[in-house]
Amino acid sequence: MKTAILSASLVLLSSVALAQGPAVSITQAVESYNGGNFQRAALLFYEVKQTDGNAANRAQAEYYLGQSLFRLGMYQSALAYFNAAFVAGPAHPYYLKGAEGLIKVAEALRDDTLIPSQINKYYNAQEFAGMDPMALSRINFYVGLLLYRQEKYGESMAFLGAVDENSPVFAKALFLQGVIHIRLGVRAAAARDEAGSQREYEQAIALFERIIDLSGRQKQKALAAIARYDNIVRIWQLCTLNLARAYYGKGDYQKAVQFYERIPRFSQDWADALFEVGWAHFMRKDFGKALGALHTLHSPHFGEMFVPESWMLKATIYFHVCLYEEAEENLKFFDETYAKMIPVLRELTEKGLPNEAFSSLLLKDKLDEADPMSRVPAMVRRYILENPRVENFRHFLRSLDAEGRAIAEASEWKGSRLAEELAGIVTVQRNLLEKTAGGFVKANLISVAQTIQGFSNHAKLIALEITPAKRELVKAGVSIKAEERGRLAPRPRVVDETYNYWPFRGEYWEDELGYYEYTVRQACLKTEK
Amino acid sequence: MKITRIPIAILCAALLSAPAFAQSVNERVHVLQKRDYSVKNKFEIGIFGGLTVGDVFTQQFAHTLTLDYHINEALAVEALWMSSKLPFANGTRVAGSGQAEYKDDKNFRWGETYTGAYHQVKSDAQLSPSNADLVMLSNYIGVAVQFSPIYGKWSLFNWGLGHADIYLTAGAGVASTDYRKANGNWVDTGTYFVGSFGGGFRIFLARWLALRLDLRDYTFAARVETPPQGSGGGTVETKIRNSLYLMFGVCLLFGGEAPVEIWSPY
Repeated sequence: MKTAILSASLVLLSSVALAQGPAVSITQAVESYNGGNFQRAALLFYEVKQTDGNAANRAQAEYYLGQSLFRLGMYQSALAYFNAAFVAGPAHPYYLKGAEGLIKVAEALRDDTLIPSQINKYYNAQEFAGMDPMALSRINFYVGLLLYRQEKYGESMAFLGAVDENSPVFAKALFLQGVIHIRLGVRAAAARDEAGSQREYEQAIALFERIIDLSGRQKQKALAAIARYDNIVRIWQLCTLNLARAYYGKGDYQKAVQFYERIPRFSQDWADALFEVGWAHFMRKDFGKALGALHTLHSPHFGEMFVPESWMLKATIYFHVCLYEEAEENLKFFDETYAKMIPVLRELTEKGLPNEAFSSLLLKDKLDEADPMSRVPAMVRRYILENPRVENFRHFLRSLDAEGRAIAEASEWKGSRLAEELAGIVTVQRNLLEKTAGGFVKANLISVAQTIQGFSNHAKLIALEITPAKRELVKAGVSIKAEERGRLAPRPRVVDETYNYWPFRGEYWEDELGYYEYTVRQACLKTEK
Repeated sequence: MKITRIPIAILCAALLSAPAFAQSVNERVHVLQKRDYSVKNKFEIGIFGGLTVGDVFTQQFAHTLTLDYHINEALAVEALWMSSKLPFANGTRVAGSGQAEYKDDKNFRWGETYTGAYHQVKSDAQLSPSNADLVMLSNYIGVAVQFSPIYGKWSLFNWGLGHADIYLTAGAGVASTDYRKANGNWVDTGTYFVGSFGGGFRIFLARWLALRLDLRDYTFAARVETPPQGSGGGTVETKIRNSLYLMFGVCLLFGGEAPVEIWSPY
């Protein structure tokens, strides 16, 4: 349809262009485009853009040069021309088309930062009102996402709220609004605004429920929703997790546990759910189940996962049940595993390495020994690589490399100014990507070091609490050794005969992961809390 | 109870993870999980094929059809029909007195044979085993109670997990019996009360499918009448016979509690 419109609109324009007698007429370029020869079309549009005396032809050629490159899968190159049309402002006849093109490129390159940022910079609500509502919804979503990342929650909500209900990104927009409400709930709770916090969590819950309702909670309707909305299956799972978080935030730990337990075992979010349900059980004083959840998280299935807080939680639980030796052991494990990473991470992030030096951690599969990133502890590297944005970076890099090769191999463009210009665009972008990826890694390493430092301080506080608690035991004339202070609690009750009870003796059976439960010695003195 | 384990790979994994897990004397770790293969209130239809084992002189093939109802996870009642020959198909009756004798009966059987011991006794010692020792079950119909207190799981080199239960069974029924004479004719020795006991295990392949290996002993009184010959009177031999059947079966399970599956869009 687009090509048909193009043909019709160019009938008049081409005659004007020919009358002015450029080296290449726009008609030729259009014919190549309509004939599917996008390499040739790009070359011709480029010539028209450079040489045509008619401004309208040049503007049109600029946009369709972008389109031709997009059709060739040269997204970065296309971006340059869509962007030129867009930043020229409403005076450019392809201003809105340029904006739509930018969003298409952003999705193809999985860029949710740079392009949305550019669109946001030149966002013109009045002009954008004339845009196709579906395209505008995408723009609003990406700008909303960008503003959310910048923690401008109010503005972000305004953009997200403007996403059309029929847009494929509608569910994503609702989800992001729910997440923002959770953030605001946390913020309100920190400011001791209990009512405000509850309100935010309730709004978040309503939004997540609304997204799950898009499935109709039936298979047939869910299949229709899957066809209609982008990435909705993943969003549903994230909604379940975030419902649990919202209920946790509200203080309804029982309900939080219910939602955490709905996260399928072995799924992408299971580790997060296990750790967080550990906290929910802890808040309910169900220490056996809290330790059980952490037992799965620390099992070989998850390998050496970066979960420093889980060891803090474990130590805190042991402290609460007066098993001081066990608490100390966990603090020691934390110290030996995590706290010792701090000097390495600090050294790497504080010695003034340029951002590009950090990019190899993301972009290279194998690191040379000479590479400073090879010193990043394996656990931290894995943690950073698990970030969903990493795959976006890698995708972007692969895409740029492929584009660079395609430009060099394009037979029609050999020795042309177009090829030279596009190669330059790709090289500049690749360098920028390395810098951005490096910046991302550096920020993560700094954040990891700060996180560990925070927990390390927390560990010291627990250790400080243990000493007077032990002193109290001595004063009371009872043994410090927990095994001499109380009895082991009996094994958990088997709900009914359709449940199996297995004792755990150090063997991890895959099917048992997620079903562990501890019983601990009742080691607290009656006066102890 | 994990009754059978070949957990080499898992054990390796457990050993590798030793620093992360060291169980203290002040805690115990338990696993409490919904049984993957619950049979409570389920019906089970099985078809078995097998043969007698352990009989000195005879061996025969048989099939069994079973219908079980699992009252709970450990207890089931079972109705079964075991057959070594087509019921009510006897070939041509040979005229004579005493117990009915048939010729051309062989075509109705799933297969039977005398063992090497039988032939050895016949050829080396010039003796013939007692006819009562040759009596076999031809069709059995009965009921049994099954008790399966042991449910286990096993792992084979970490390729996957299997689940099984082990059961004991005891029952009673009636069976038609017969034996083959040296001339190939079959003598119907009558229908008797039969007691059975045995055991086996059931390997679950899916919630609706299981394989079973079943070893069951059928005890019955074999009564063989020898008609009068010449001036001599007839004789009656009675023996308590045990036929031990080893059967392999495929079973379909249905009904019972539907697995708890919260609808999930994942």
